[in-house]
Amino acid sequence: MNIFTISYKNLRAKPLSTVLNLVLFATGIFIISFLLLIKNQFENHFEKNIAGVNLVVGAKGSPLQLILSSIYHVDYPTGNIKLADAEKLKQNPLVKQTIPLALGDNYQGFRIVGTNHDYAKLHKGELYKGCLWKIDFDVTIGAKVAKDAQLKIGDHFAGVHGFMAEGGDKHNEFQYHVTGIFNETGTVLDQLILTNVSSVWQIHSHHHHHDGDADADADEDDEHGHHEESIAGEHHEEADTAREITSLLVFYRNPMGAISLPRNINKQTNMQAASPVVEMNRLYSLMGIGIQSINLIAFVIILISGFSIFISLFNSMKERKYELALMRVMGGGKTKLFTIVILEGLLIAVTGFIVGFVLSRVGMLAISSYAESNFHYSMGNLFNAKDDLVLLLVSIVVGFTASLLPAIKAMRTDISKTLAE
Amino acid sequence: MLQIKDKKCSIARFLITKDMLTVKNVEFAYNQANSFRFPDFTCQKGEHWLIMGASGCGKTTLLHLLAGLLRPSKGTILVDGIELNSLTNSQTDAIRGKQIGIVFQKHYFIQSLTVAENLSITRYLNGLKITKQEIQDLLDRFNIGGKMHSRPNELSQGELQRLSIARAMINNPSVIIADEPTSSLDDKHCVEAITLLRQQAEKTESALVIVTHDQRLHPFFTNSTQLNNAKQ
Repeated sequence: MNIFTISYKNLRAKPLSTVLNLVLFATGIFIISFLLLIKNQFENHFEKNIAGVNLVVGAKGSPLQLILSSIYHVDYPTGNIKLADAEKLKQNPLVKQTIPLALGDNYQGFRIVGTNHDYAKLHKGELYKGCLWKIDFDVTIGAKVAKDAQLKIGDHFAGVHGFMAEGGDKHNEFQYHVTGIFNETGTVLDQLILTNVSSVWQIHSHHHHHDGDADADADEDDEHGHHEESIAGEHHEEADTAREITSLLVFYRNPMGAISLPRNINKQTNMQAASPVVEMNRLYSLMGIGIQSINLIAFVIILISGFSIFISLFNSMKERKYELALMRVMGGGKTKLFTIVILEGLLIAVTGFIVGFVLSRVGMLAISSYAESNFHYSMGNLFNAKDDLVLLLVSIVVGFTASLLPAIKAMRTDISKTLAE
Repeated sequence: MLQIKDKKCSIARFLITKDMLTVKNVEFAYNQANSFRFPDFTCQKGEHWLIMGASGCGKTTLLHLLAGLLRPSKGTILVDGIELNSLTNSQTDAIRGKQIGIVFQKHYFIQSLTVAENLSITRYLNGLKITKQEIQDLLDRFNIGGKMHSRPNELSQGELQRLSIARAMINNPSVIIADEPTSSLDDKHCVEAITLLRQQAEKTESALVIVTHDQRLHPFFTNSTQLNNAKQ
């Protein structure tokens, strides 16, 4: 028998109101905790994948779309830019490094990216097995690709046009050859198939001859059935001017680049420059309004539950006034009575917190398995010590405040008057 | 508190060695129109006193004064040599918990706790421990050993009465005060209850004070006093 048992038994004696208070409290905590998790998850993901890229240069269109397609590989690309134009940028003294990206195909939903070895370095991709791609149609694949598509070193496969696993035309005449597999990096690299740019060019070159449409265009109507006649060697002879890439990742030599480079590109060329950080912040602020209003609702739920705890405790003080007087008579000091009631409030709050906390993690796991199967996006890191601690503190404060008045009432019970009634 | 106790004890020992409960010139006023004066009496160790009085003559008030729930406006009440009026509230709480066992007229119990828990909380609130076996023995003594894990609302009136007495005894108090312990009982149960109270008080050598209007209790007591015309 101790003070904790007494509080616990008192709550147990009123199962209905205790459950109601618990459900209310846990719901509030669940919503907030869940939102925080999702927000952190996305922010983490977004920040990690930016990987220091200062600027993305691509075809004109939505800057956000350009960032989403070139950095996160989720949206469709905006179109293509001429390789020659991109090469010119490389010469700019403000530019330290550039990485080309040529998109357009996928294998089982995993994007095939034509690029150079710097892109692997950018995401700190270390080889788990094999080696990086050397010649045309060699590919090095991300850890998740290897696992989900069950590709091994030495395997051959054909890409599918577009970014959907089904529906695009298969480039059967060109077989990719797996030469390496990356270790898991926790970045978008895990879900990519990397090859050189020229492989992508060769597959799509036939297309240029006919209509000059964008390689990486998402247009599913593209005719791609005529590659039988194409000979790889032919395409290498193509003039550089005709060659296109989807986008160019740019790193500044110094911060001065941020001031003039994007403006110059946007004004003077038919390309578009977008900063990943600026675009992602724009996206956050758009999402922010929604997240904030849901957060507000959750806090209101927690407040209501605090109020409900207060009312149940206050009412039970009325019913229990004889018991409280009795405890005083039996030698229980005022502080003990005060503590018993405060503990009742805290017990509900902390239990509610734990229930909400666990539920939000379960919800997150469910969402993440859904996201993984549908978007090839895996989410890890279910704990954020700082946020969880703040939420626990909020719970304790609400529980304490809600039980403060009833506890004072309990402490001030006039024993003689109560027992004489 | 110990110092006060020691001091008072030494004085008490010097004057009257075995006095457990002393009431001297005690007056109490709820307000000007409602005030009481109580007869002096001294209850020694192991002695049993009956305090008789009709309704409204201040029986419950006296009981609350003896238990330290109320403070007299005049006069002194000594429990085991300690003057209650000289103590702080928390000291009174401690003295009441350890030295005084109270049997109330109504059977107040904590409904969310079992019979055994209702007993052990009485120990706990005074910073004392009790084993399951001790609780079982105590309940057996009062013939309610089988009700250990029942809730108070599952007990009959007679069982509640016995549980009340058991609870008053659990800390081995030097004084047991009972408020109308028999008024709601029939003759047979009245005799049973008073016999039980006396037996148990004798066992622990506690002073027993019963405040009642129940005339049936007269034959059982040699010491008695009347709260007569106490209203001024």
